[in-house]
Formats: sequence, C-alpha cells, structure tokens
Amino acid sequence: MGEKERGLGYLPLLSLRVLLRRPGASLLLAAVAALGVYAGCGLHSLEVQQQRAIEDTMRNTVIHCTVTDVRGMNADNLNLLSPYVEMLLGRKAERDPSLADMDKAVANVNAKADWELAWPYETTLCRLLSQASDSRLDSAQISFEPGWDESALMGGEMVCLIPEGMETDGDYLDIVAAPPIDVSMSLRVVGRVSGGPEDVIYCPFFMPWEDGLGMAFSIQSCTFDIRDTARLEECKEKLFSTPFFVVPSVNATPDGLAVGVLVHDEVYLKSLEELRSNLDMLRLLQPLLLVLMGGISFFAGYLVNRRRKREFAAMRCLGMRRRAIFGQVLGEQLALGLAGGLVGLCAALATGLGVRSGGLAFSGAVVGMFLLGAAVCAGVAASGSVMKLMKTEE
Amino acid sequence: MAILTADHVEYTYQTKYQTVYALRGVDCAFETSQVTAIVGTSGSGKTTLLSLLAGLDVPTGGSIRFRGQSTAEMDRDAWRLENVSVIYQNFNLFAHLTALENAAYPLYLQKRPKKQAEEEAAAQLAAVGIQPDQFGRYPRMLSGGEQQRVAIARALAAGSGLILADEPTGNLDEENSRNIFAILQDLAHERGRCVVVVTHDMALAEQTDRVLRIQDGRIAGEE
Repeated sequence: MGEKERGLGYLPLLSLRVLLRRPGASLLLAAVAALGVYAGCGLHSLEVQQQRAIEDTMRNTVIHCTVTDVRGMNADNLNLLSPYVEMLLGRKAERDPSLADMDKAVANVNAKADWELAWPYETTLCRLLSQASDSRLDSAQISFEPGWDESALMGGEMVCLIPEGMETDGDYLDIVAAPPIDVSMSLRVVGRVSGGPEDVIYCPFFMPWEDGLGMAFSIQSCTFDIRDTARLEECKEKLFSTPFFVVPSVNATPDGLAVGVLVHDEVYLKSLEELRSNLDMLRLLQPLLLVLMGGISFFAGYLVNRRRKREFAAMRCLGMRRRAIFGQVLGEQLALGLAGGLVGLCAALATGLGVRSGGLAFSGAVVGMFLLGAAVCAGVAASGSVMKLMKTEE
Repeated sequence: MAILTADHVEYTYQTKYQTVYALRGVDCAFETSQVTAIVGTSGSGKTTLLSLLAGLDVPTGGSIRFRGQSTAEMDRDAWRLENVSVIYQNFNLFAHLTALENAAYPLYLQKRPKKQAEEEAAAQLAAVGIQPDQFGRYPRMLSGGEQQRVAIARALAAGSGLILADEPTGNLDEENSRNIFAILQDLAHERGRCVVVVTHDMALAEQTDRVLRIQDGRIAGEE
C-alpha cells in the first residue's frame, strides 16, 4: 500500500477543515457552547457580587441597640442605675460570670446622666461616656486643652467641658450639686464646647463624686452597638443570657432588676435574608444550567449529526472503525465546544462580567457537559446499523 | 479463481412485527476478472447478500469466505479498508469534501501522506473521465454521472480487489449508465478486479459475464 503516515494522518485535520465548510451547523454548536459559558460566567459573576454584597452588609452595617424598660419604652427617660453601663462594658465580670466577655458582644456603649446643679446657677452636669452619648453634641465642636482629648470622658479624672461662653476662675470650675446631693467640688476645665447647649457642663461618666469615692447614679439614656454583625445571634445570645437584659415585651412586669434592650436588626436581617435568598437561587441555577447545557448540547449535536447518518455509514463501508468515527465526531464537537467556550469567555470579559477562577471552573464544567452530550451523540452516530442505512431497496 | 464464496448463507432479522428470512441458504462464488450481476425483484434479498459480501454484517447461518477465511472470524473493518469497495446507487459521496478529497478518502483512512494520497486519487479520477478542473468541486456541483465516476474513482483509489456495486446506474440516464458500466467491466477485464453488481436492469445484467438470479432469498438460477 506504499508509505504510510505515522500518527493520526491527515483525516483529523480534514475533519476540522470540513467544520468550516459546514458553517451553519458549526456555528449552531459553537453558539450553544458560547452561550453556556457566557451564562455560566454571568451566573458566577452574580454569585460573587451577591457574596460580596453579603460581606459588605455584614462588615458595614452597625446594629444599634437601645436600652429601654422591660416594656420597650422610656428610652430617653430611663431610671437606670449606672452599674448596668458597667455591666455592658464588662467591668462587672469578676462578680457575675454571666457578664464575662460582655465587652466582646457589645461596642460603642453610650450613656448619659444629667444632674441638676445649684451652682453654676441654672446649669446641668451631664456625665458622658463619649461625645456620641448626647445628641445635643452632634453638631457641636469641642476644643480640648493641650494634652487632652475625648478619651478623657471615659476616664475617672475630675475634669469637665464647659460651654464656650462660660466664665471660670482660672483653670477650674467650682460646682455645687442641687439637693438632695448637696455636694460641692472643683473640676479642671479641659475643653470648651461651641455650638452645643449653653447650660450644660460635661464631665466623665465614671468621675468619682468626691475624692476617690464613687457612687451609683441614675442615667437617662443608654445605647450601644452589636460588636460583630457576623456573629449577631451569638452576641444577642450573650446579651440576653444575663438576668439583667431581656427582650422587651408589652406584657412584661417591671421587677426592678431587668431592663429591656431593643435590637434594631430588622432591616439588616431582611437585607441579609434577601441577599442570601438570591445567592441560594443563583447556586441552584448553576447545576440547572449545567444540566440544561448538557441537554441542549445533546439535542443540538444529535440534530446536527442525525443528518450525517449516511455519511457515517459510508465511512464504515470504507473501513473506518466505530471508535474512529466516535473519535472524529467527538473531536469535532470538542473543537467547536472549545472555540465556542473561548468566544463565550471573551464575551464575558468584553461585557464586564469578569472571569475568575470560579467562573473558569464553571465554564469548564459547562464545556464538559457539552462534550458529554456530544459524546452520547457520537456514540449514537457510530453505532448505527450500516446495513440498514445503506439499503436503497428491499 | 474464486476469491469470495457464499456457503449456505442464511440471514434473518427481527422487525417490530415479524422475523424476516432475507436469505435462505445461498451458495455462490465470485471470481477475479469477472463481472457478476445479481438480479431479482425488490425484497428478493440481493442487497442483503451484497451487504454480507461486503462484510457489513455476518450471516446468521452459513459463511462468507474471502480467500478461504470466514468474514465472521476476521477484523472486517480492516478487511474492508484493504480489500473491498462498495459503490451505491446514491453515490454516498461526502457532501463537504471535494471530488479529489472524496476519491482520496480511503487513502487518508490508510494514513497515506496527503500529497501521495491526492496524487493517486487524481490519477484515478482522470482514469474515470473526471477533468482536473472538476477536482475541487463539491458533489452537489457535479452531475449524477460525474458523482458516480467519483465514487468509482474512490473505489479504485482504495486499491480493492473486490468491487461491490448496488444499483450503480439506478440514478443515471442511459448514456451515463452505459459509461459507468463500461468502467466497471474495464475494472474486471483489464485490471483483474472481482466486480459484483446488484441490479434489476436486465439489459445491463445481460452485458455481464455472469448473472445470478435470486428469488425469495435463494439462488433461483444462474446464466
């Protein structure tokens, strides 16, 4: 038979060239693969976006909590004792194990306690944990003396912030509490407040009332944040596991011990649920898309190759083996699937969907399903009865 | 010398409704340098016999032997590739290959170098009267007679000693039929091939060296 070429010979190259001579069928199959990969990249991109949205929501959302009475009311007119604030700050943990690590559950604790002063006349002493504890300071400017800053409010030194226009005798301000406290003391002025109330003197929340002597006092309002929204339920469980903080209920009876805490997480939870629902839907769509791609590619391949039955039979007549026909059809589909997949990836890049490793893996799976469908088609094509197909009469 | 023999060949197959006894004990032999016609009415079993002779299936009874070896025991794909060419009424050319590529296809299958395969195919196309300017044409651009010539050139290029033709002139006009038949006779008489032609055209059959009449799956007579 003369010299024979090694390897696969010219036939594989010829069958690829023939793909270009059948542009309709080739385009149909390549388009199916391209659409599958594009849709896969799109779905994966949406999944990544949803995942990021969830992470951003969890990272950027602050869950505010407001301390109320047990019925969920009187948030700005609490008759709450200052040790509850210390509980929230974790300062009481050594006495009550249920308060251990409370400061890991909550953050940004704000509390405010107003005391009426007999001197300076018609002024109020406001004990604060931070500037954010009093909404009247939202638009105010505080200018601290050198060496002092807002952290002074969290300390225990006998200092104060006074209104910009208030006159003092040097660096100290003498104050006298109104009855029944009736105590006088001298506070170091460490800053002045402009744009805030003119009749309020601010001092640290934990400032001892007399030298070294602290005492429990009543506070008007208290708020705080959940420290970590990713562990929201864990933080809430920690908070409500103590006997001091309860979920407010209109039917609750005040017992003088517990206070209510309103956790403003409704919007957050709803947003998160929607995002997670979207994510679940997208994740559900991915295997469906894979199955759909397999089905579509199977039928596309089947319809295209069905018309070639006689061609395959003629190949068998010429002595081509079944597995060679199977390999040829699979090779053609592989070439079209890869070409279509590449077009799909380029389209995904061009339209800004982006191609990430996850998207590539999904695209690979889509092309794999395409080839699986094609393999079945090739198997069907190669297994036809040549005698039946070649019969022209009888 | 008989290179192909059919010994008590039976062939049955099952359809949805019945068992069909297509061949019921056929005995015959085919020699080189001879054109044999198999004639018979539709459904008589002549195409089934031709398919079995081509090794597309094996008999359900009896045997087909090529140079003494049963087709049931051989690698029939490899055997067909090297020894058998089948020509059909509807040509069965590959629609997306040119006349030259169609004729060279068996040589591509044999993994001959492209250039060598196409040179041989071109020579065979020229031998059956296809002009070089038609080598690059697709089958749809050729007439029925030209397509059958390409199919014959494909059979010649394969170098097969056994050429089986199923109604090779069935789709051709009288003049083209004559020309194609002359080529088949030339293959047998000048090139020493064994040519078997299935036909229902008695005028054509009478020009062959030998006529086998098949009826109801049996050889009813030989002329």
